[in-house]
Amino acid sequence: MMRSKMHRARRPSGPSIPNLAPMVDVVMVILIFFMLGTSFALSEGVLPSQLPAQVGPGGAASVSIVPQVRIALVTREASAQCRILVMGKELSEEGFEALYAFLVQKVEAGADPAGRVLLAVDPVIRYEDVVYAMDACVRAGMPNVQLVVGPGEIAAAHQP
Amino acid sequence: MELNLAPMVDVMMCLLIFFMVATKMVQQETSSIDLPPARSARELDSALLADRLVINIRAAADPAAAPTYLIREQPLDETSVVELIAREAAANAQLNCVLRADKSVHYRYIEDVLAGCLASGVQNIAFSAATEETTP
Repeated sequence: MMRSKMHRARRPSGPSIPNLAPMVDVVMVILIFFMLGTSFALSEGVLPSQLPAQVGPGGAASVSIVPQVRIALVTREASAQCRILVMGKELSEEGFEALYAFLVQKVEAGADPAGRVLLAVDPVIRYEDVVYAMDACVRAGMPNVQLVVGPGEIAAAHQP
Repeated sequence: MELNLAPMVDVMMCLLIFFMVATKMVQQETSSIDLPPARSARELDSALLADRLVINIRAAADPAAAPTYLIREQPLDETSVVELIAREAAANAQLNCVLRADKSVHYRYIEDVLAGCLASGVQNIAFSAATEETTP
């Protein structure tokens, strides 16, 4: 009885159209996966800096600009801890908040915020300390930080 | 009445390809680096975006040992990085570098890259930092 009914089922006469619904389901799932997996808004930013300009053929001589502030990050003896020297003198308090407070005071006292901050760093200082020092300068309103490159320049930055 | 799904499939396929390619591009530029936090870190100036060269510096297990430099997911040694900067700077006078280093990397390895930038005439350098945490 059932067999005879099945035989009687009508077939479409035109060309068969593929059923797209399962494909749409799969593509939707993959699409949502990639949409959630792609993060355009990165949780990181940058601290801009400039290297000293060089002049002459092949950059033979560097252009010297008198900085507003000279900061040097040096290591403590027998430890990897960072000491902060400003204009050749160690700050009375430790840490980068003390550096920030010093720079804020300097800006409030009339220092040019567009003035250059020269930052000299000892080779064994960690990257995070460099970033903290730059962050303190930018937050204090002195964003023109210039990193010192070369041992001679670093020695000069330690001077008062 | 049957719903015509063909236009919807077209749009979805375009979106899918876009997100697949975008995911790959974001991954290529930003290798997993343990960045130090900085409250004042901002997005890179849009004028510099097109000409940037992202240099990733991943620390070795021993922070005093030489780190791995990664540019476009390609591991390089220090000399190759400096050579690459020189080549890119020769081809593009507007080149600027974005340095992404692990927080424990010693400055001497960063200074080598900076010296390479300086020798190639690249002046604009940006240091990457995380923005979510707070600075100690």
